[in-house]
Amino acid sequence: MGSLIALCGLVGAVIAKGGLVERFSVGVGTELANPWYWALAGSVLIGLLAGTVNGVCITKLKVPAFVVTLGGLSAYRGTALLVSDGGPISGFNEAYRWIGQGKIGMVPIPVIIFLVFIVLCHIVLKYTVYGRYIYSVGGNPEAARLSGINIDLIIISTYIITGFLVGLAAFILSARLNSAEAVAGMGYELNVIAVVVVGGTSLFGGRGNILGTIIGAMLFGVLQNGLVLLNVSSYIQQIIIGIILILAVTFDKFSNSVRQV
Amino acid sequence: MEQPQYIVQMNNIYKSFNGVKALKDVSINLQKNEVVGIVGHNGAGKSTLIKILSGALPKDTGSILIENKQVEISDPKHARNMGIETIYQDLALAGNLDVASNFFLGNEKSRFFFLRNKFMKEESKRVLQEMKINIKSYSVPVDFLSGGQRQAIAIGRAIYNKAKVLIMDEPTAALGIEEARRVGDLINQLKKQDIGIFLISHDIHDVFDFCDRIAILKNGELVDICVSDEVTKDDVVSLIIKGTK
Repeated sequence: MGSLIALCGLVGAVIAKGGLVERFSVGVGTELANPWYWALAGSVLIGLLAGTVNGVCITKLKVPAFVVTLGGLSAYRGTALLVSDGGPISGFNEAYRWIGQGKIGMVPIPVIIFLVFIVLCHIVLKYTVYGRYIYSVGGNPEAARLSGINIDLIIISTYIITGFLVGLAAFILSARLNSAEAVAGMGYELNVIAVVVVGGTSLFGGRGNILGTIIGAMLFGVLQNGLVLLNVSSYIQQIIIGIILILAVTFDKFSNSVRQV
Repeated sequence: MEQPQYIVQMNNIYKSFNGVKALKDVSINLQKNEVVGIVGHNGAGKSTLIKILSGALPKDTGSILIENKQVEISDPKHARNMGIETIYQDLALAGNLDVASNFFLGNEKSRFFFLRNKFMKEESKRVLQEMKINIKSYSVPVDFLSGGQRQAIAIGRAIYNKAKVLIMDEPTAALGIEEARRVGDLINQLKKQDIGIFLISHDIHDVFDFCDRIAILKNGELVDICVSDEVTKDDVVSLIIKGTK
């Protein structure tokens, strides 16, 4: 949902700047027409709407998930470019930037938000009925349906939650960079897939957890930083990330077929 | 003479898929402590009939009575709430989840949205041990268990949910000889517990071993319902193939 990050961030920025006419205020100043929480609300709302649309297309209209994802990738990026006219929207006030750049003690605010959500997601997935339903729908949707679980509702709700988190992440990103732009989040889709698969999530559904995803993200971060420190060209970095993704999915496929023997 | 006490009465059931008639005027009933076998070729309508009773498919026309009360079964959960449990050919278990999670799938025990994992594990263990099913680890995903163990989980789940009607779709099809025998023992145990069972099977020996009556379907129509003690295996095979004895 890299392109949705761009769109959500831009919508938040447009709201903060007071509308489309005032949006191109690069370097003009940091006074905002609306407070940061309106921008956050707008950003999250767009994420929720996009998540709902994706979920409904997949469950009710039976469009294959990868088609919806690819279609969304193009449509949301195009809308982001339309909204921003291709340029960045930047210059936010201190309160806005604090969400992305501020600290409580030594801990950056984005890290605190991240910790809150990983704890919340871990609890929901591991200890609640809803979490159990998510795993069962991922593992065997037909078994879940025959057991009386409303699988469409579960699938739509996961897309809505993803949309919400994308909206939140988009707002944090724009606050951290003091700028929202249509090219934000470019290539995040592949990074996310690589991180979760390396972290033990199965692309075939039903397996994975938050702890594994965090380890995957850390490994991925160390790898990316390491490549930069080793002065590896960004072109070669892309090749390495692609190879890791293919290897991780191959391993996942192999372990999945071993389970079914 | 005492009237039979039916727990299930399916009357004049019709079902079509895109104009193709899968069931034509099928009527079948089931009593307590009775096993009714449903046999027929592939495409005879066996699975369609049980999917209608289990709430997985809606019927086009006809009526269903559970304990003499007419019902409209809207979905599998509704069927389960009425005491109709189904054990599907492909087991309907989530292979990625452990024994207890599958045992209580769709019927999780919780307190304020939080799962009572310990309780569910103990209960599933208790029921399976009562069924004399030995499972080494209750924590592994059921994908790692044998076919017989998985079938036992599905049957145990039905028993735990106090099923009045049990529908078994090819319960021994994917099992080895020893495991099939074990499932057979379970069917005989269940018969003694006031449960009525519909048994779908391709195995004519299974049908004669377990069933009190045998319903034969052919091309979506009910050809005959026989008392199993009054017919031979050849009669039933002839009914399946030709539609006559």
